[in-house]
Amino acid sequence: MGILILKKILAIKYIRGGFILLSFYLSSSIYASTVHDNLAKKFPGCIVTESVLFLATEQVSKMNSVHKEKKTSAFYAYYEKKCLDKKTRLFVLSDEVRTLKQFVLFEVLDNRIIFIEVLKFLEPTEYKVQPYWLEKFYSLEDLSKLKTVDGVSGATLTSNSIKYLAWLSLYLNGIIKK
Amino acid sequence: MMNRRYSLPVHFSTYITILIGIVLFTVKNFCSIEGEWGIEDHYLVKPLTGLHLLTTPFLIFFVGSIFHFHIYLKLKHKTKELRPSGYLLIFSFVLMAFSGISIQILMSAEIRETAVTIHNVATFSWIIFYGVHHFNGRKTK
Repeated sequence: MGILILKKILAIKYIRGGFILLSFYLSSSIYASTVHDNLAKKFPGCIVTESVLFLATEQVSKMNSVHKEKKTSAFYAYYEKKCLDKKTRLFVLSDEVRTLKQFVLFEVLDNRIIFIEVLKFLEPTEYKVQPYWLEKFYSLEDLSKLKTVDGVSGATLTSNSIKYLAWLSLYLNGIIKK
Repeated sequence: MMNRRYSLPVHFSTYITILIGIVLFTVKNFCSIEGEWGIEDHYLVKPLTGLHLLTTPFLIFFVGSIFHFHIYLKLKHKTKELRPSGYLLIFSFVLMAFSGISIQILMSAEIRETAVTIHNVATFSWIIFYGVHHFNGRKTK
Protein backbone atom coordinates (compact mmCIF):
# COMPACT_ATOMS: atom_id res chain seq x y z
CA MET A 1 0.00 0.00 0.00
CA GLY A 2 2.79 2.37 1.02
CA ILE A 3 4.68 1.63 -2.20
CA LEU A 4 1.56 2.33 -4.22
CA ILE A 5 1.10 5.73 -2.53
CA LEU A 6 4.80 6.52 -3.11
CA LYS A 7 4.43 5.60 -6.78
CA LYS A 8 1.42 7.91 -7.06
CA ILE A 9 3.40 10.79 -5.49
CA LEU A 10 6.31 10.16 -7.85
CA ALA A 11 3.91 10.15 -10.78
CA ILE A 12 2.51 13.54 -9.68
CA LYS A 13 6.04 14.92 -9.42
CA TYR A 14 6.76 13.68 -12.93
CA ILE A 15 3.63 15.39 -14.30
CA ARG A 16 4.51 18.59 -12.42
CA GLY A 17 8.02 18.47 -13.86
CA GLY A 18 6.56 18.10 -17.33
CA PHE A 19 4.19 20.97 -16.69
CA ILE A 20 7.03 23.23 -15.54
CA LEU A 21 9.05 22.31 -18.62
CA LEU A 22 6.06 23.10 -20.83
CA SER A 23 5.62 26.43 -19.04
CA PHE A 24 9.28 27.27 -19.57
CA TYR A 25 8.90 26.43 -23.23
CA LEU A 26 5.80 28.62 -23.55
CA SER A 27 7.42 31.38 -21.51
CA SER A 28 10.66 31.38 -23.49
CA SER A 29 11.92 34.82 -24.38
CA ILE A 30 11.00 35.92 -27.87
CA TYR A 31 13.17 39.04 -27.76
CA ALA A 32 16.89 38.83 -27.22
CA SER A 33 17.34 42.51 -26.35
CA THR A 34 16.51 44.17 -23.03
CA VAL A 35 14.66 47.41 -22.24
CA HIS A 36 18.03 49.15 -21.84
CA ASP A 37 19.21 48.02 -25.30
CA ASN A 38 15.93 49.12 -26.86
CA LEU A 39 16.17 52.57 -25.24
CA ALA A 40 19.76 52.95 -26.44
CA LYS A 41 18.56 52.12 -29.96
CA LYS A 42 15.67 54.57 -29.60
CA PHE A 43 17.99 57.45 -28.68
CA PRO A 44 21.08 57.04 -30.88
CA GLY A 45 23.83 59.48 -29.99
CA CYS A 46 22.76 59.56 -26.35
CA ILE A 47 24.23 57.66 -23.42
CA VAL A 48 21.59 55.67 -21.56
CA THR A 49 22.53 54.09 -18.23
CA GLU A 50 20.33 51.77 -16.22
CA SER A 51 19.73 52.02 -12.46
CA VAL A 52 17.40 50.30 -10.05
CA LEU A 53 15.34 51.67 -7.22
CA PHE A 54 14.17 49.74 -4.16
CA LEU A 55 11.35 51.43 -2.32
CA ALA A 56 11.05 51.46 1.46
CA THR A 57 7.93 49.98 3.06
CA GLU A 58 6.42 53.41 3.81
CA GLN A 59 7.01 54.53 0.20
CA VAL A 60 5.17 51.44 -1.10
CA SER A 61 2.42 52.06 1.45
CA LYS A 62 1.97 55.60 0.14
CA MET A 63 1.63 54.26 -3.41
CA ASN A 64 -0.94 51.72 -2.24
CA SER A 65 -2.90 54.35 -0.34
CA VAL A 66 -3.10 56.70 -3.34
CA HIS A 67 -3.77 53.98 -5.95
CA LYS A 68 -5.46 51.17 -4.04
CA GLU A 69 -6.67 49.40 -7.16
CA LYS A 70 -3.23 49.13 -8.81
CA LYS A 71 -0.68 46.37 -8.50
CA THR A 72 2.39 48.10 -7.09
CA SER A 73 5.95 46.92 -6.71
CA ALA A 74 8.90 47.78 -4.45
CA PHE A 75 11.38 47.46 -7.30
CA TYR A 76 11.66 49.75 -10.34
CA ALA A 77 14.25 50.28 -13.04
CA TYR A 78 14.97 53.76 -14.39
CA TYR A 79 17.40 55.12 -16.97
CA GLU A 80 19.60 58.22 -16.99
CA LYS A 81 19.81 59.72 -20.47
CA LYS A 82 22.60 62.08 -21.46
CA CYS A 83 22.37 63.83 -24.82
CA LEU A 84 25.16 66.39 -25.35
CA ASP A 85 24.95 68.28 -22.05
CA LYS A 86 21.27 67.63 -21.36
CA LYS A 87 20.56 65.08 -18.63
CA THR A 88 17.08 63.60 -18.27
CA ARG A 89 15.59 60.56 -16.60
CA LEU A 90 13.60 57.86 -18.38
CA PHE A 91 10.96 55.53 -16.97
CA VAL A 92 9.43 52.63 -18.88
CA LEU A 93 6.31 51.76 -16.91
CA SER A 94 3.51 49.31 -17.56
CA ASP A 95 -0.06 48.95 -16.38
CA GLU A 96 -3.03 46.71 -17.13
CA VAL A 97 -5.64 48.81 -18.96
CA ARG A 98 -8.52 46.34 -18.71
CA THR A 99 -7.15 42.85 -19.12
CA LEU A 100 -4.07 43.63 -21.23
CA LYS A 101 -1.08 45.88 -20.65
CA GLN A 102 0.28 49.10 -22.09
CA PHE A 103 3.94 50.16 -21.86
CA VAL A 104 4.63 53.88 -21.63
CA LEU A 105 7.88 55.85 -21.79
CA PHE A 106 8.18 58.96 -19.58
CA GLU A 107 11.06 61.42 -19.87
CA VAL A 108 11.41 63.60 -16.78
CA LEU A 109 13.48 66.74 -16.32
CA ASP A 110 13.50 68.68 -13.02
CA ASN A 111 10.42 66.80 -11.76
CA ARG A 112 8.45 67.72 -14.86
CA ILE A 113 7.39 65.35 -17.64
CA ILE A 114 8.83 66.55 -20.94
CA PHE A 115 8.00 63.57 -23.17
CA ILE A 116 5.52 60.66 -23.15
CA GLU A 117 5.23 57.87 -25.68
CA VAL A 118 3.06 54.77 -25.65
CA LEU A 119 5.61 52.11 -26.59
CA LYS A 120 3.31 49.13 -26.74
CA PHE A 121 -0.46 48.89 -26.47
CA LEU A 122 -1.91 45.38 -26.22
CA GLU A 123 -5.60 46.28 -25.89
CA PRO A 124 -7.52 46.99 -29.15
CA THR A 125 -5.93 50.03 -30.84
CA GLU A 126 -9.21 52.03 -30.86
CA TYR A 127 -8.74 52.50 -27.10
CA LYS A 128 -5.25 53.95 -27.47
CA VAL A 129 -4.97 57.65 -26.55
CA GLN A 130 -3.80 60.17 -29.15
CA PRO A 131 -0.36 61.85 -28.79
CA TYR A 132 -1.94 65.35 -28.53
CA TRP A 133 -3.72 64.29 -25.29
CA LEU A 134 -0.41 63.11 -23.83
CA GLU A 135 1.00 66.62 -24.32
CA LYS A 136 -1.34 67.86 -21.54
CA PHE A 137 1.04 66.27 -19.04
CA TYR A 138 4.02 68.35 -20.19
CA SER A 139 2.83 71.49 -18.42
CA LEU A 140 2.21 69.86 -15.03
CA GLU A 141 4.31 71.10 -12.17
CA ASP A 142 3.61 68.55 -9.45
CA LEU A 143 1.71 65.38 -8.55
CA SER A 144 -1.39 67.17 -7.25
CA LYS A 145 -2.01 68.81 -10.67
CA LEU A 146 -2.49 65.39 -12.31
CA LYS A 147 -6.12 65.36 -11.17
CA THR A 148 -6.81 68.43 -13.31
CA VAL A 149 -6.11 66.54 -16.55
CA ASP A 150 -9.40 65.57 -18.21
CA GLY A 151 -9.90 61.95 -19.23
CA VAL A 152 -10.60 60.78 -22.76
CA SER A 153 -14.20 59.78 -23.50
CA GLY A 154 -14.26 56.37 -25.18
CA ALA A 155 -10.86 55.54 -23.71
CA THR A 156 -11.50 56.20 -20.01
CA LEU A 157 -9.57 53.19 -18.75
CA THR A 158 -6.57 53.99 -20.96
CA SER A 159 -6.48 57.63 -19.88
CA ASN A 160 -6.82 56.62 -16.20
CA SER A 161 -3.96 54.19 -16.69
CA ILE A 162 -1.77 56.91 -18.27
CA LYS A 163 -2.61 59.28 -15.39
CA TYR A 164 -1.55 56.61 -12.89
CA LEU A 165 1.70 55.95 -14.74
CA ALA A 166 2.43 59.68 -14.98
CA TRP A 167 1.85 59.95 -11.22
CA LEU A 168 4.14 56.96 -10.68
CA SER A 169 6.95 58.41 -12.82
CA LEU A 170 6.89 61.74 -10.94
CA TYR A 171 6.60 59.97 -7.57
CA LEU A 172 9.58 57.72 -8.32
CA ASN A 173 11.54 60.68 -9.68
CA GLY A 174 10.87 62.55 -6.44
CA ILE A 175 12.21 59.63 -4.41
CA ILE A 176 15.35 59.28 -6.56
CA LYS A 177 16.14 62.97 -6.10
CA LYS A 178 16.05 62.58 -2.31
CA MET B 1 -35.14 11.85 -20.08
CA MET B 2 -33.27 14.38 -22.15
CA ASN B 3 -33.22 14.16 -25.92
CA ARG B 4 -29.74 13.60 -27.37
CA ARG B 5 -30.44 16.27 -29.98
CA TYR B 6 -30.51 18.87 -27.17
CA SER B 7 -27.86 17.42 -24.87
CA LEU B 8 -25.05 16.91 -27.41
CA PRO B 9 -24.61 20.60 -28.37
CA VAL B 10 -24.56 21.52 -24.64
CA HIS B 11 -21.91 18.90 -23.84
CA PHE B 12 -19.86 19.87 -26.88
CA SER B 13 -19.97 23.65 -26.24
CA THR B 14 -19.35 23.11 -22.51
CA TYR B 15 -16.26 20.94 -22.93
CA ILE B 16 -14.86 23.21 -25.66
CA THR B 17 -15.37 26.30 -23.45
CA ILE B 18 -13.89 24.50 -20.42
CA LEU B 19 -10.83 23.43 -22.43
CA ILE B 20 -10.21 26.93 -23.81
CA GLY B 21 -10.87 28.46 -20.36
CA ILE B 22 -8.36 26.18 -18.60
CA VAL B 23 -5.64 26.83 -21.21
CA LEU B 24 -6.35 30.59 -21.04
CA PHE B 25 -6.21 30.58 -17.22
CA THR B 26 -2.89 28.67 -17.25
CA VAL B 27 -1.24 30.79 -19.94
CA LYS B 28 -2.52 34.08 -18.46
CA ASN B 29 -1.39 33.32 -14.90
CA PHE B 30 1.68 31.12 -15.29
CA CYS B 31 3.28 31.85 -18.68
CA SER B 32 4.42 35.50 -18.87
CA ILE B 33 7.10 36.42 -21.39
CA GLU B 34 9.95 38.92 -21.46
CA GLY B 35 8.78 41.42 -24.09
CA GLU B 36 10.78 44.20 -25.69
CA TRP B 37 9.66 46.69 -22.97
CA GLY B 38 9.21 44.41 -19.95
CA ILE B 39 7.19 41.48 -18.66
CA GLU B 40 4.03 40.99 -20.62
CA ASP B 41 1.31 38.42 -21.21
CA HIS B 42 2.09 35.38 -23.30
CA TYR B 43 1.34 35.87 -27.01
CA LEU B 44 -1.37 33.17 -26.78
CA VAL B 45 -3.42 35.22 -24.27
CA LYS B 46 -4.95 37.54 -26.89
CA PRO B 47 -6.11 34.86 -29.38
CA LEU B 48 -7.28 32.61 -26.54
CA THR B 49 -9.29 35.46 -24.98
CA GLY B 50 -10.88 36.09 -28.39
CA LEU B 51 -11.67 32.38 -28.75
CA HIS B 52 -13.13 32.29 -25.22
CA LEU B 53 -15.37 35.28 -25.99
CA LEU B 54 -16.42 33.61 -29.26
CA THR B 55 -17.33 30.19 -27.82
CA THR B 56 -19.07 31.43 -24.64
CA PRO B 57 -22.20 32.82 -26.40
CA PHE B 58 -22.71 29.37 -27.96
CA LEU B 59 -22.56 27.82 -24.48
CA ILE B 60 -25.07 30.37 -23.15
CA PHE B 61 -27.35 29.71 -26.14
CA PHE B 62 -27.29 25.93 -25.72
CA VAL B 63 -27.71 26.14 -21.93
CA GLY B 64 -30.72 28.39 -22.66
CA SER B 65 -32.11 25.70 -24.96
CA ILE B 66 -31.58 23.02 -22.29
CA PHE B 67 -33.31 25.28 -19.79
CA HIS B 68 -36.28 25.47 -22.13
CA PHE B 69 -36.47 21.79 -23.12
CA HIS B 70 -35.19 20.11 -19.96
CA ILE B 71 -35.35 22.20 -16.78
CA TYR B 72 -38.44 24.28 -17.50
CA LEU B 73 -40.47 21.21 -18.54
CA LYS B 74 -39.44 19.36 -15.37
CA LEU B 75 -40.48 22.30 -13.21
CA LYS B 76 -43.73 22.88 -15.11
CA HIS B 77 -45.02 19.31 -15.18
CA LYS B 78 -43.33 18.21 -11.98
CA THR B 79 -42.66 14.87 -13.63
CA LYS B 80 -39.26 14.46 -12.05
CA GLU B 81 -37.36 16.18 -9.22
CA LEU B 82 -34.36 18.31 -10.13
CA ARG B 83 -31.10 16.75 -8.94
CA PRO B 84 -29.00 18.70 -6.35
CA SER B 85 -26.14 18.95 -8.88
CA GLY B 86 -28.68 20.54 -11.26
CA TYR B 87 -29.53 23.28 -8.76
CA LEU B 88 -25.84 23.89 -8.15
CA LEU B 89 -25.25 24.01 -11.92
CA ILE B 90 -27.92 26.68 -12.37
CA PHE B 91 -26.52 28.76 -9.50
CA SER B 92 -22.86 28.49 -10.59
CA PHE B 93 -23.74 29.12 -14.25
CA VAL B 94 -25.61 32.35 -13.46
CA LEU B 95 -22.71 33.48 -11.28
CA MET B 96 -20.14 32.49 -13.93
CA ALA B 97 -21.99 34.23 -16.79
CA PHE B 98 -22.66 37.49 -14.92
CA SER B 99 -19.14 37.75 -13.50
CA GLY B 100 -17.76 37.05 -17.00
CA ILE B 101 -19.84 39.87 -18.49
CA SER B 102 -18.80 42.13 -15.58
CA ILE B 103 -15.12 41.66 -16.45
CA GLN B 104 -15.86 43.06 -19.90
CA ILE B 105 -18.00 46.03 -18.87
CA LEU B 106 -16.95 47.20 -15.39
CA MET B 107 -14.85 50.36 -15.12
CA SER B 108 -13.48 50.06 -11.60
CA ALA B 109 -10.28 47.97 -11.44
CA GLU B 110 -11.02 46.92 -7.87
CA ILE B 111 -14.49 45.54 -8.64
CA ARG B 112 -13.16 43.97 -11.84
CA GLU B 113 -10.56 42.07 -9.81
CA THR B 114 -13.37 40.78 -7.59
CA ALA B 115 -15.34 39.79 -10.70
CA VAL B 116 -12.32 37.84 -11.98
CA THR B 117 -12.06 35.96 -8.68
CA ILE B 118 -15.82 35.20 -8.66
CA HIS B 119 -15.60 34.07 -12.31
CA ASN B 120 -12.70 31.70 -11.58
CA VAL B 121 -14.34 30.20 -8.48
CA ALA B 122 -17.77 29.89 -10.16
CA THR B 123 -16.18 28.30 -13.24
CA PHE B 124 -14.26 25.81 -11.12
CA SER B 125 -17.50 24.88 -9.32
CA TRP B 126 -19.40 24.70 -12.63
CA ILE B 127 -16.81 22.27 -14.07
CA ILE B 128 -17.10 19.97 -11.04
CA PHE B 129 -20.92 20.11 -10.89
CA TYR B 130 -21.16 19.61 -14.65
CA GLY B 131 -18.94 16.52 -14.51
CA VAL B 132 -20.95 15.08 -11.60
CA HIS B 133 -24.29 15.88 -13.26
CA HIS B 134 -23.23 14.49 -16.64
CA PHE B 135 -21.75 11.22 -15.37
CA ASN B 136 -24.45 10.60 -12.74
CA GLY B 137 -27.02 11.14 -15.49
CA ARG B 138 -25.27 8.55 -17.66
CA LYS B 139 -25.24 6.06 -14.77
CA THR B 140 -28.99 6.33 -14.17
CA LYS B 141 -29.81 5.64 -17.83
